[in-house]
Amino acid sequence: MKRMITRAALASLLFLGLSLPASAHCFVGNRFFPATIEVDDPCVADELSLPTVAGFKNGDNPSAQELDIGGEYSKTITRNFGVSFEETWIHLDTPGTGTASGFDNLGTSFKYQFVRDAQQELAMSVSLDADWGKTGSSAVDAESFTTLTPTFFMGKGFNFMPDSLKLFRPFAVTAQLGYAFPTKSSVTGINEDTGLLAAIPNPNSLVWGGTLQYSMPYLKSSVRDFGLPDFINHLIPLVELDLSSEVSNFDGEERTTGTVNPGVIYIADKFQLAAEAIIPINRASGDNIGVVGQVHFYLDDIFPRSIGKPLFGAAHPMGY
Amino acid sequence: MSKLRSLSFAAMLIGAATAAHAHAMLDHAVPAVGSTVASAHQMTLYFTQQLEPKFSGATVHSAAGARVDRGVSIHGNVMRIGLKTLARGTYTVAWHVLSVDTHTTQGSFSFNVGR
Repeated sequence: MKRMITRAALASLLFLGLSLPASAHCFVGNRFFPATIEVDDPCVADELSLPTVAGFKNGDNPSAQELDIGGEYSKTITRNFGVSFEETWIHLDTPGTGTASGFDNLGTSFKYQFVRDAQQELAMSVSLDADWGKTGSSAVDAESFTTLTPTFFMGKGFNFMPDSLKLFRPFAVTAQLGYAFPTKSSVTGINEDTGLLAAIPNPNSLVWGGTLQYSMPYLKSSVRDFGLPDFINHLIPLVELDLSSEVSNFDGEERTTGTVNPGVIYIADKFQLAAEAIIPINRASGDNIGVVGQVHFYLDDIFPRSIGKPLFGAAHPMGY
Repeated sequence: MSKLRSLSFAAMLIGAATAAHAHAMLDHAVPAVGSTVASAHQMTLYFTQQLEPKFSGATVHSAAGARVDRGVSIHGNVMRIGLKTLARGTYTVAWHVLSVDTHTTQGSFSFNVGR
């Protein structure tokens, strides 16, 4: 029986590894989808985001000045299946209360990419994200329960634009749609209105959003080389939309929260730099405009023969 | 001590990021991507990394679908594509390369002749 299970596991890994060709971080034909800060890109890759630093006034009442310093490590198990681990250190400065610091809950993600269509510049993947309860500090309100979020991701380039609109071809969109459900339906806490202990519901939520991006590298290499300065040719201006909408077991707060993040990514050979503004869509999402920056390393390029390649199977198809 | 370890790790990563090879991307082409030229007998593609000639190549097609390339030569990061005599029109170059660190990339673009 044990041998059968082992064989089934190996067969599954083989299937996950061999079911479609891949070429490391998110290249799909002419298109490169960069790693974006809030909305995950639709590919599986060996990469490291370190650090991601965000400063903003959060949606609490009163609003706390929050500083987040985080990192995420993603590892391919096969060419199309990977895991990632994410952790964030949080510092809160709340008016009238003082300061608090600590780690947020550990986040993990298991992701499988099932579409990489070079002709259509289309990529799709699914993941199961887990935010593990009780792994963070209660001082920064890390949840005491685990939340699971199955999520769908897609990315699509605008190479379908006709010749008369070819300057629109560098555009691309990515999107995500997930359903977050806590493993506990409620927690006991202090009701902000009454000041008494009460059961506070943990709502189920749709986690959704996307990005709209314009790739200057794509413009130069696939549409028209205007002879622009090299620095400009490495930029991808973009806007991210990151939202969460409660769909059941409501907690009485604002049903939809999130941010709009306009910014720019600089693409180098083996890393990228990103900077974005954080604009809350309502008071429950934050107070005033914040900023976030990220350094992101392409481990498949930096360590192509060691930690930058899948544990099982070849990293790249040889030839065409 | 942990700060020292973190700094060492960051320095190692940045050092490796500066030294290592990466995906070979098209840096520029002659004739230039999207340009219009009076005539062209050869297309030269300059990539950002050294290429593996055995697993790299390119084709050039006219708007009608006729193949107009005649041989590819690769040296280092430069790919040269011989061209047949080109009539006025739009031509599409499709390339695929394997960089020396085993990463594959591909792409395509157009240029015009005689317009």
